[in-house]
Amino acid sequence: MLLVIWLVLVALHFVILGCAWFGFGPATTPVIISLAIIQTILIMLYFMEVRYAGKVIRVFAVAGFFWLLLQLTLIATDYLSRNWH
Amino acid sequence: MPEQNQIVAQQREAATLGMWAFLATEVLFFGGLFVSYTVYRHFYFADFAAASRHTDVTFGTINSIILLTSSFTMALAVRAAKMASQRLVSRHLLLTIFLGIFFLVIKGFEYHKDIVDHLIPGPHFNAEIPLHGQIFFYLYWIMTGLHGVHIIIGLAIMSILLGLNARRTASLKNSQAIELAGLYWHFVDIVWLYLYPLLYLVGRHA
Repeated sequence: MLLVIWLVLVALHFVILGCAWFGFGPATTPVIISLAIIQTILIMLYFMEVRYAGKVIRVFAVAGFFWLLLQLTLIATDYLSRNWH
Repeated sequence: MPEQNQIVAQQREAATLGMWAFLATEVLFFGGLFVSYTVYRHFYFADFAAASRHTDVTFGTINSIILLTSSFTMALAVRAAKMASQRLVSRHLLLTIFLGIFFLVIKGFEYHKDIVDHLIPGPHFNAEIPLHGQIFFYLYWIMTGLHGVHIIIGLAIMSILLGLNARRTASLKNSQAIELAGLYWHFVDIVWLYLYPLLYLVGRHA
C-alpha cells in the first residue's frame, strides 16, 4: 500500500509540473495547488497514518490547516475589498 | 494486565497527540510566510511571475522527488519499528538520512547558482528582474532556508534514533520515537509540496 501511495505521489508531481509548464491561464495556479492538496491528504492519511488514528488526533491534524485557511481568508477579505468604489 | 495495556495505549496516544499539536504550530509558523507570499503576489503579480522564472526548476523537481521518496522510506521505517524489526528500521532510517543529505547537497548547488545569478535582494540584485522581484527572492531565501533548517533538525533526530536502534533491540518505546520522528519528517515534506509550486512553477507558462 505504501509503495502504491509513493507511486501516486510521484505521478501527481509530474502532473503538477506538466500543468505548470503548459498552463491554462488564470486557473493554472489554483489547479496545481489543488493537486498539492491531494498529495498532502494522501501523505497525511497513509504515511502519517491519520487513517488509522483516533478522533482527537484527526481533529488536531486538521486544526493547523483550518486556522491557516481562516487566516488567509480574513486577510484576503481585507486586501480584496480595498479600493472599492 | 489489561489495565496496564490500556495505560500504555493512552501514553502512546498522548505522545502522538502532542506531536500533532506541535505540527499545528509549525503549520502556522510557515503559514505566516505563505500568507505574506499570497499578499505580495496579489500586489506584484507580474513581478513575481518574472522572478520565479529565475529559480531552477530542474533542481526543484529533483529535490521534490527526493523528499517524496524519503517520506516513503520513513513510512517504511515506522512500519518496520512496529514489527520490531531492528534490521529493517536501521536500513530504512539510513536510506531516509541519505536522501535528506542528498536533498541538502542539491540545495547547496542550487544556492550557489542563485548567488552567481545575483538573486540575493540588495544593491547587486539581478537587473533583468523587475524591482518587486526582490520581495519574491526575499521570501524564497527565507522559506527555503527555514525549510532547510527543518531538514537538518530532522536528520539530527533520525541519526540519534539510528544510534539508539543499533544499540538495543527495538523496544515499544523506541518504535514510538521513530513514529513521532516520522510525523515530523512527513510534515517537512508537506511544506516543500507548497514551496515547490509557489517558488518554481508560478511563472512557467506565462
